Amino acid sequence: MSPWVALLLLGSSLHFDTLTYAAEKGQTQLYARVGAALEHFSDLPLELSRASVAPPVVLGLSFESPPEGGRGGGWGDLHFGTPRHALEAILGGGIGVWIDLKPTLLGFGIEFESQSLLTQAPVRGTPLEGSRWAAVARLQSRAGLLRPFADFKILSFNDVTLSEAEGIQTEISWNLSYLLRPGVRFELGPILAEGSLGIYSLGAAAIASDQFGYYIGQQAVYRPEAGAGVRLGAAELWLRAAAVFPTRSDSEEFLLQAPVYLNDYLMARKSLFAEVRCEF
Amino acid sequence: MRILTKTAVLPALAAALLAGCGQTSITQTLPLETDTYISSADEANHSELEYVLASRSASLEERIILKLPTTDKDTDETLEEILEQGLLFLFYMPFEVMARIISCSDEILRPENLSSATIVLDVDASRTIEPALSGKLQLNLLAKPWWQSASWNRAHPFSKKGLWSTPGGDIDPSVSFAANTTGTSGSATTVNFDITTYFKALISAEGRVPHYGMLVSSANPTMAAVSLRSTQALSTFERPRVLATYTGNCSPSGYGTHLRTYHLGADPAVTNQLIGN
Repeated sequence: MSPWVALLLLGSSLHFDTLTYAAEKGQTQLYARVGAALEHFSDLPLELSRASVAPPVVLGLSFESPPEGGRGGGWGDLHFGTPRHALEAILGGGIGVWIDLKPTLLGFGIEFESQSLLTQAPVRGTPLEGSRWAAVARLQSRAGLLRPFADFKILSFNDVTLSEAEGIQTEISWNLSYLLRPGVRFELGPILAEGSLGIYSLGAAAIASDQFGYYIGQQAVYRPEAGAGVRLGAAELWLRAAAVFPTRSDSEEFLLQAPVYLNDYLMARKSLFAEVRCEF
Repeated sequence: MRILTKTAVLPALAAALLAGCGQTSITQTLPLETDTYISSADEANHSELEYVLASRSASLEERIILKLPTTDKDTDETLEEILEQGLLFLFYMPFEVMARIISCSDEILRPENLSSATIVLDVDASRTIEPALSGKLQLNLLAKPWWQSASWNRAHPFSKKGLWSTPGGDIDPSVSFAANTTGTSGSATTVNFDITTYFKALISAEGRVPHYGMLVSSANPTMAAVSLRSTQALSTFERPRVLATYTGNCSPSGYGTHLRTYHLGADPAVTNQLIGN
């Protein structure tokens, strides 16, 4: 069990963008997102290639209903993705509630990400084909030019079978990971901006079979992110840049420990994302 | 788990019929569960082949890696243990495994009574080129864990620490073994390594001495290909195994002599053979 040693942040702005800013009135948005890894980690584990860990293309639908007039609010998201190395399905989403704590909002919910439909090499037989659940909480200001927020997540990764060679099953399993991300969003007319610093603690991971075992200890990771956007009518255009700084230098261990590929992307040292959101 | 025999009543009954005093010998066969071979020419995974290769020339070397079974836990238990304690107990032959191997309550099957332990590997004649095998192969102890995809440069693919410090395998110099002898098993020629001293120390340690595996390689600068049956061989009786013989005095109520065979791997089977005093 990962200790509360470090508060964890996982720059999940890609997902949390929907619930980060509970709109003044309910809204439903369709969004599309593409990304690129600007700088990969030097070494990849197993038989993963740079193409296989590149950010996937995502298409999603989100809704928000902020609390008002004593009525509670909620949020939801459902998204589909496909990795760049092959046309395969990735599914994710979340649902939660908002509680009005004037002048702030408090949100609680759950998320899931499933990559278990990824059947093609080299992702097959790696932690990337797994799935995860998360309990999420978000505190955010709902008014003003500068709107600070703080996210907290507890992530649980499902065990993944890495190999069944020689009739011997090798699996990887993880302890819980914890994520905390303080940030601030700026809105001035059509100008949008956002910055956050992710501090997160990745739970220990174990790889084992009847004849082999390997332990990867808990690790803190830092993920700063900055984004700039513009609102054009019902649409928002965003460009976000992020960097990932594990505290240990073994990138193979890190990528096994943090198979966060969709939504919260941790697979590259530096990445860039473009996103379009349309309200309807 | 597969380490242990499906201990049958038959050997006990037969032994009871032969019960008597005096020195007796019991030979156990402990099958190996995982092996592969690594090649200086490629990084391919050879773990699922029915054979393993050893050879050496100026341009190519192939070495065999194998490991004695050291745990009786399944994968889920092992994962849980590693995550909870951050330690890898599975490389230490635990007392409960030894208690099962020495599952008889007689006085003979004890570590101190181990009189010989031999690794036996069946020769795959169809792929072996080297004409005379006695003394051609050497056995060394490995100094770090390895996974099934082990290659010439890497013990496992999960970390930078998975690289061998020395390409071709990290050898533990504290233990040495004599070069191989040859024997027969049925109609097959076998390659045998005497590991009596080491095996006795391992089973006597009761979980205090780690075992990561062994390396079989050419004892000479050049050697043509030697192919041995692997843990994936179609016939379980041809798979790599350890023959351990215990010799001691039995009491009037003790067992007589019997041979018990344990086959690990996908299809364990047990044979029981009676041998006289």
